[in-house]
Parts: sequence; structure tokens; C-alpha cells
Amino acid sequence: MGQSSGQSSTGAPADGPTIALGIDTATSVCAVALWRFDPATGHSEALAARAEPLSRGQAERLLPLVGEVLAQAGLDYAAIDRHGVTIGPGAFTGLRVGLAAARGLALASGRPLMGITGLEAFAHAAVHGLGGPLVPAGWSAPAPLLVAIDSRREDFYLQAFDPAGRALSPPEAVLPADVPAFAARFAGPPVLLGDAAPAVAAVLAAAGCDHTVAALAPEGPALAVARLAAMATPAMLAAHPANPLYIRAPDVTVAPPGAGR
Amino acid sequence: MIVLGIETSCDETACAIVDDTRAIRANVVLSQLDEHRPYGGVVPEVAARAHLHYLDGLIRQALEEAHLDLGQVDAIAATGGPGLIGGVIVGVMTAKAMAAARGLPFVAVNHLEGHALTARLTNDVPFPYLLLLVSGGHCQLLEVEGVGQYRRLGTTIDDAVGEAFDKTAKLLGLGYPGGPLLEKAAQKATNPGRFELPAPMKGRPDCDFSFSGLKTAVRRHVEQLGTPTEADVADLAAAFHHAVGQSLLDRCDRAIKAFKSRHPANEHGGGRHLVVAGGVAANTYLREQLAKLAAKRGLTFTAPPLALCTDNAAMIAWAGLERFRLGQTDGLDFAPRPRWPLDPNAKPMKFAGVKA
Repeated sequence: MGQSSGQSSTGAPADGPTIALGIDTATSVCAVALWRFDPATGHSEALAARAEPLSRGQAERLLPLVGEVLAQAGLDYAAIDRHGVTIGPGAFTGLRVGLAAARGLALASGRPLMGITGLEAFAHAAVHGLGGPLVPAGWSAPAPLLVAIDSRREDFYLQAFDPAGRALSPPEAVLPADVPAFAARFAGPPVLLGDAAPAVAAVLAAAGCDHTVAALAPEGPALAVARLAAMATPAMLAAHPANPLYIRAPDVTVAPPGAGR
Repeated sequence: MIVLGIETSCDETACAIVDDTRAIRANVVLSQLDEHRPYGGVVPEVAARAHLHYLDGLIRQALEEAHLDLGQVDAIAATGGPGLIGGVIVGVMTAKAMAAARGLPFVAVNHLEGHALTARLTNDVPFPYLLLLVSGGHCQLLEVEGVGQYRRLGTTIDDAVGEAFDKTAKLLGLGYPGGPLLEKAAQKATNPGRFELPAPMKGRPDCDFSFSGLKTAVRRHVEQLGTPTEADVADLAAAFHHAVGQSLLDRCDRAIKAFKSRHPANEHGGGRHLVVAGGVAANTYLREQLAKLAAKRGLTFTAPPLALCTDNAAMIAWAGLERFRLGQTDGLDFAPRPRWPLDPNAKPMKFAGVKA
């Protein structure tokens, strides 16, 4: 299988730049980005990116959107050397839409796929200014980045990063009442990021905790996974399989026989 | 013409490859029975997770078993519904992405049409034919007039047959899934005529089904027995089979009359077959009963091999192939359909909304 010509199995061209497709449907959007990295010159750039604020209907929109982004960049599917995808946490259906599509693309093309958590993708986008420069009011350099993703439930998925994008905590599901204590674990008033940042900000404000909210264009995480996939070494690709990060165990409700049929 | 098919609408993750000579090049099915057994039924979120976990590996396995490269495949088909939506989404997204990456046509297949057309894959049955579709989620009688052309003659007004099997097996303490366990128990019956159970809907002028009352009747016997012995269970299982058989036969006989009047046998072999499909068609007793009825009415009885009666991807690949060769393909914007009746003109039934 595979359409590769002059490519190694890691999807890294023997010479010349690497083009990666990034997909993010795990964070209340349907987003696609293309990134190009030239290892010879070190030049790295976004080729195209689109995000639609969709919390439903991603299954319909995702692949047409990939086609539109490729067309915008003047490329076709054969030009994609690597794939990157956000693996969650987030809405279960949304993250499976992106993961199933990314795995299907990787399978059919025989080219690699890298999975990145949505939390890391937000942090990476913020640190590298993907989806707009990160200039929240009152930004002070040593402040921790606190990425918050909407769980569609009572709690938030939270993870803290240092200003260089290194994780300070593991991904966690945190109830609103526990958010101030979570934020207090890290030195300095946090910079909030992610689709649940406004909700977390409201909780911190109510508790009188100092914080700032950063704005990031919705294609930021898709750009981040595309950039990470394009620049990854083979070892990094291998260390990031595209397996889902659900955090929450499945709700056990038995389907009525023939449900939906 | 070679088509790859994907099935993820319930608790089987499956991939198959078929061609237009009706050869099944590969047919891989991974049952999630063990994942769901502790819950006594299918848990949608558990199923969706398992589909995502296993599907791409199964597709690779199917291609390997068929000794095919994706470059030799002409179209990618996947179950687009009806079914548990989380699983359907996994199959549809995988198929659409594969089709997009390779510039191949994508075909969204109605899971029920997969069952309905299986007899054409296995036995080359010509249109039109009468179909009894019996499974855990369905119980319908349909006239199959062509690809995408169905007329529903009857459907269940409450439980599906497979559902009745599962619930009855549970009442008798036999476990899950109920079909094979009940059949095994019935074979041990020493006095199969000992319990009398009603044959639901028998004699009614329509072709509809009902199995909820039968389950209640079994429960009443169980309660009277207190703690049923193994012999009681065997005799009750046999009585249950007899009652289901009587009901199915009565309903089918009416459907055969209606089918014959609208579709007289023709020289192309059409109008001559009674086909049974779906998981319940794996039941030997019911198959025998239906075969006898078909013979009595001058119809050829056709039931696909057992492995192709239960959920599988060969039927999806085949239905995809039938649609593809008629020029019927779907866009990459196809939206998975949790509900998708075969006959959109059939009058909605109170319970059939979710079963049919």
C-alpha cells in the first residue's frame, strides 16, 4: 500500500520540505490546517488554516473542509506527508470524528499520524503564536498557562503549562469548586486558554483569584498539531500514537435492542 | 469491480472486500460480546470506543487476507445508519477519509439494505423477492423490488424477535445473548407441549408482529413455577420457539399472498423467493419452519449462511457494490443517520419508529 514516491515510511521526504495536515474536532470546532517545514533551511510556515465554530455536525463538515484547505493551498491529498490530530479530551463524539478521519487518511496514504492532546495543542499554539499572538491584558512572562477544555459536563479538563509550553501537571477533570485550589498549585496568576477559559475565568473571579484570559483564533490547535507533526522526529511520531484521551470512563447505559433502527 | 465495506453500527467491528463476481475476498468480524456481556446488553459508549480502537487494524487485516492493495479497490462503502450513532460515525469517517485520500467513490449503505441484499451476494436471487428481516433490533416483512426499492408489508408494534429471545432468555436465567442459549435449552426439552404460550397476532389481517405479550406469558409461567428446574426451562424454551414460529409463519403466509398478487413469478426468476435475513435467521428451528412454509406456497426458501445472517461487513460491501454499479455514490458531506427506514413511505408505527 502507499502512494509514496521517494519517501521513507516515516513520511519524511528524503529531501525537501515536509507538509503536514492538522485536524482538530475535539474542542468545539471543526478545524483543519496545513503546515510546511523545510529541515534544510529550518523554515517553517502555515500554508492554510480554517476553523468553523461547530460543536455538532463535524462528521459532515470535516472532510469537505480538508478539501477546501488543500485547494486554498493549491495542493492535493498526495502532497500530505504527515497527519496530526487532537486526541481529546473533549466531547467524545467530536474527538472520535477527528481520530477516525485521521486514522483513515493515514491508513489510505500509508503516511504517519501523530496524536496530540487538545490541552497540549492549545499550549503549543499559545507559545508559538499560532492563531494570533498571545497578548492578554496584563500578561506577565512567568505566569503559568492554564488550558481549560469544555467537558460538556459539570467539570473542566485542565492542564497547566509553563511559559515555554512544558507541562506542569497531567490532564485532569476538575470540578468548578476545586478550580481555585487547582490554580493555586502554580506560582503566579494564570493565563487562561481553551474553549472553557471564559467559564473557568468566571469561577476564579467569583473566588477572587487573579487571572487573565488569552484569546486565540479557533484554528490555533489545528495549526499546532500540523506544526508538531511536520517538525517531529521519527521518535517523536512513534511516541505520540493517535489514541483517544477520554479521561472519563464510559457512561454505562445499555442501549435498547435495535436502538435507533 | 472490487468494493471494501465497513460495518460499525452495533457491537461488531467488521471489514470485508467483495467483487462483482460475488466472491468474498475477505470478511473480518470482531465481536465485542465480551466487552458488553457484563452489562447484559450493548453499551453505546463502550461500543463506540471499541470500534475506533480496532477498525483501522481490521481494515489492514482484510486487505492482507484478500492480498489486495487499496489501489485495486474501486469504492469504499460503510454503514451510514441506522444504528448506534457513535459507532456509525467511526465507520463513516474512516471510510470517507480513505475515499478522499485515494480519490475513490464513497458509498453510504443502509445497514438494513445490507441484510436485505445478502441473498443476492450468496445466492444471486433476482428481484423482486419477499424478505423476512429478523434480528435483535428488527422484525419486518418487505418486498424487495430493487436496489433502494422496498415496500414494507409489516413490522413489529413492540419488541423485535431477537429482543424477545434476549428478554426471555434473561427471564429463564440463561444469560446473554439469548438466541443461541434459548435454542440450546429448547433442544433438551422432554415435554415440549407442556406449556401453552400464545402465538401473537395470529389470524390478524395485517402482516405486523408483536412479541411483548409472549414475553409476559413466559414470565407468568416462571413466577408460577417459583424456581424453574432445568427441565422446566427446556420445556418453556421449546414452547417459546413454537409460539414464535407459529406467529412468524402466520404473518409470513399473509405476506406471501400479498407479495404473489403484486409480483407474480416471472421468467427472470423474480417473484419466486422467500428470503430470511438477520441474526434470528441463524435459528435452526425457525429456518426449518419457514422453509416448509415456502415449499408449501411454491416459493424457493433462501437463507444466507449463518455467518452472513448476523452483522458483518460483506453485506455492506455487497450493498455498496450494488449501489455503486448503478452510479449511486455519496458525498464526503454525508451525515450519519441514526434512523433510516428502508421504506420511507411506510406508515410510522408507534414502536416501529425505532425498530424499523
